[in-house]
Amino acid sequence: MNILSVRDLRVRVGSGHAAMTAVDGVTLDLPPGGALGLVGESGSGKSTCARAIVGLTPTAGGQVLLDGRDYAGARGRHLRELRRRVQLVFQDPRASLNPRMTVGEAIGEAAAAGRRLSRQARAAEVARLLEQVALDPAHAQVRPGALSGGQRQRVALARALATRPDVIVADEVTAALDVSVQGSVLNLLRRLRAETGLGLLVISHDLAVVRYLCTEIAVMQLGRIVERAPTPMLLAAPQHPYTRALIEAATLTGLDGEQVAEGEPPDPLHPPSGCRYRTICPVGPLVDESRRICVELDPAAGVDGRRHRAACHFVPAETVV
Amino acid sequence: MERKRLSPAHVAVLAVFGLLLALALVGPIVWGDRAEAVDLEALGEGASWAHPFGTDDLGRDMFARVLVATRLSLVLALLTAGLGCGLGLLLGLLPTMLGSHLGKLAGSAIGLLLALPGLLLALLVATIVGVGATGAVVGLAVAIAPAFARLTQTLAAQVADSEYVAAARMTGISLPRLMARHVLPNIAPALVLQAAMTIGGALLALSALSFLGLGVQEPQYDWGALLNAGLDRIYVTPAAALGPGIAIIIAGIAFNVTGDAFAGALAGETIRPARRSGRGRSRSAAASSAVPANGPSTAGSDAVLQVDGLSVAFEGDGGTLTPVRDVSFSVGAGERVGIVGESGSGKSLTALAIADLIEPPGTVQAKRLALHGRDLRELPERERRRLLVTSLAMVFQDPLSSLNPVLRIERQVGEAAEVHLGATRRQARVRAVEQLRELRIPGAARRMGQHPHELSGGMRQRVTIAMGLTTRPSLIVADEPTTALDVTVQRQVLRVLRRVNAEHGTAVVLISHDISVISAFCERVLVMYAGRVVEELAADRMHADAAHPYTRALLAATPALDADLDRPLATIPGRQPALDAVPDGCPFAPRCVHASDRCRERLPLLETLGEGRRVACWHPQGTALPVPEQEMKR
Repeated sequence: MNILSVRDLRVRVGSGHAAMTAVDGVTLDLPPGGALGLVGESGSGKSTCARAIVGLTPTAGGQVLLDGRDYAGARGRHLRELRRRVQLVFQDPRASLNPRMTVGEAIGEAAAAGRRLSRQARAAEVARLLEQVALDPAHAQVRPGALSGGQRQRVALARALATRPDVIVADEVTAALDVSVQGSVLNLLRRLRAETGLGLLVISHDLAVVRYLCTEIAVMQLGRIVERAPTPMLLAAPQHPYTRALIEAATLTGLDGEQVAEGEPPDPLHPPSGCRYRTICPVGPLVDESRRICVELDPAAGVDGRRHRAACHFVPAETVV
Repeated sequence: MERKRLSPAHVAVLAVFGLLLALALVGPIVWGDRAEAVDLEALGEGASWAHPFGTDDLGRDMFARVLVATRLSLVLALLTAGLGCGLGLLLGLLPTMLGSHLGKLAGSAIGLLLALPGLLLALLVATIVGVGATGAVVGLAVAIAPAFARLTQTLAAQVADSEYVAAARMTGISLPRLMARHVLPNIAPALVLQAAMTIGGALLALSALSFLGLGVQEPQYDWGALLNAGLDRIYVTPAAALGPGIAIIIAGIAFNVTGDAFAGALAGETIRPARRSGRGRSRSAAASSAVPANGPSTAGSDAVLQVDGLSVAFEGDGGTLTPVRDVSFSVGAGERVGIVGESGSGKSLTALAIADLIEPPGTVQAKRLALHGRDLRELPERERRRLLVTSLAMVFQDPLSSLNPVLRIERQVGEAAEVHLGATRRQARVRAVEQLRELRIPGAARRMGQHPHELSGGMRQRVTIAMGLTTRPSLIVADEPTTALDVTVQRQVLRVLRRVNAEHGTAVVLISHDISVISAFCERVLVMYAGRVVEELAADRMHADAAHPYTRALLAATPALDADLDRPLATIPGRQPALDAVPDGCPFAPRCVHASDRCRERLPLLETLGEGRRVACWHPQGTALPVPEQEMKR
């Protein structure tokens, strides 16, 4: 049984001529205490997907199952229950912490939401949470402005933990931080997962971050999952050309080599027919015109039972399991 | 927390405001009798010592009446503004509270109310409620509410979109609490200011209604009613009309400025003023002159860029801040040099100083700042511009800021060729297309007719590079050129830069916070910390040879795809010193595990250890290094 399951999730954003399906049939599974990474570039729909899962953005279809119960489009009490159990942590703690509330007030408010807590119990809970994220409980008295970026992000994590969630959705939680403190947040997430059995859904553009935190990775491109596999398999033998491009870019190798043909990036408002990566794909019709199938047929994600799945018509033969 | 200091003008107005409040409190008690005293001997008199504003038709002292009227005028104005702003606040919060569909309806309702002319609305309501003080107050409140509601609606919508409100909603707190704790406190400063100005406005409007006979009725009187009474005789005894008029103006100004000061104080709670630091001043002087620097390590006659003892300082309220201190390096022809550092290390300002782009109050000091051996600061303005334009291209993080949104790509890329190379428009176009082709921009000819907004981020960045390259510069300074881009696009842009470097021998200075980008692209790396270069070394020796603890920590903290998963990621405790609190010794000492007393007391100089190899550290790490003399004595 998965603690969190997303089935064929669809999210429409924008209106009029700018309307588009930002998340188009995404399916994800997170076992209890598991860690799944959702990787993609800007415009891939990964953050919209995260917001839809926690009910901050309305869904246009599909299911968000928590312990088998569907919370998609939940309202009122159900929505509050969903949010308490699945907490979203945002990218920039400068934006996600109210500048006018002290650290203690922000965490205490979340801890007391939906249950009665005496003043002492609340203070004790705040202190416990601050210690859990490796901050001095004395920090409860200060406002976020007095903290460093890494400390603020740990405060945001403490606030998320305050509602005793089963799953934390971490949306680019290190992207706004200086390198010297990124590690503290990543180490903390790893430790929390190991110690408390917290489930993690990690949204990031950075493969190295996802690799460090997650046991499984899903790669998202233009609203769809194009490849999904256990972390070591995905990194060692990527099957989708987009995943290969991401890994190549992340390792920054081959900057000197001759550039292959480069196509027009797909327009998200008018996604191309067939495969959505085909306009810039280095193995598709751009380089081999005989590969018409990419234009005509949408490469559905492989057999469900397989551990390593890629939505590509031309998966390298030797890696097919 | 330090409070924002009030200006003398604010203090003066606050004093007037206090005086008004005092008058409102004691006015009727002290002058009440005198204001009602009928003196048949002195009907309709002009100004005199006994009656500064003259007397009215019944011989009552106008000065006393103006003072007494303060209470009623202010109370009515406060009531009106309070009622109006209260109504407006409730109405304005509705769109945020009700959610998407009903909220839209509420928003439209506000728009509709706004479209009605306020004074007509006020007159209408005042007539319905009944002529008199109550009618005037209710009428004006109804007229005030829509504008206040619109302001509330706009501000609340902004805050409601913020991530901290989303985060608060995530915790499942109730809607009223969300409004009270997260939305209202953050829109309060603007609303308070608006409300205070509304009080001033209400005062004027009420006076106007009373003046028209629609407001306060006999025997009560406010300033407007007094003005009305006095106006009949304005040519005979002007003081009787001027008195209440002056009172209205003074009160109006006092409310506006008080609101301003109050809103400033509310907003100021989150703003910390820069602390004054005498130390910053003395150290900056030392940095720019006294400290002997080792010469740039690969200085040669063929150096494209020579920087020696470069400092950038900013003169501010809190003293002089020196974000770049005594930076020296050189770039040879066709070399790829990287500058890496965290935010606030001074790397971007170094780039701006090289391109002569530091604006006052910033000042640049250097012993030498030369392009192709010609010191920029010794050249006349015209020649300096020309040298910069023809030999240096700058590429910034945000390509949109370097592109003119209304010009086609053709004009932007071609312009430099026209202006600086004397090409015709036709030649410039050909040159521009060539340039885009060279950068492997797909559909180069078609791009010529497009505007910047039609291009993707990576494409835009390549266009800005193309613009800079039209004059065939010998040096490109790229400041975080790929930070705003996706990793696959970053790779494309880096490849373009690499290609220009290889084919035309253009030297590149790449500035980035990302040490992995720097080490992949560059041959030589400068590591900056707190405004200083702390280490310089060959990029391919970085992992093996880095000697400065900061460089090593930075490398260890960068998550890489081949990092050991069984070990926690390295972090660097603490943070970079603030610009006004850079310590006397090594700036990294407070965060350094190897720091000794010497590090905390004395600044280590950038010592040359070999070709292209410098380090500023009392305790350099690694075995490949000769132990410095100072170390041996200890």
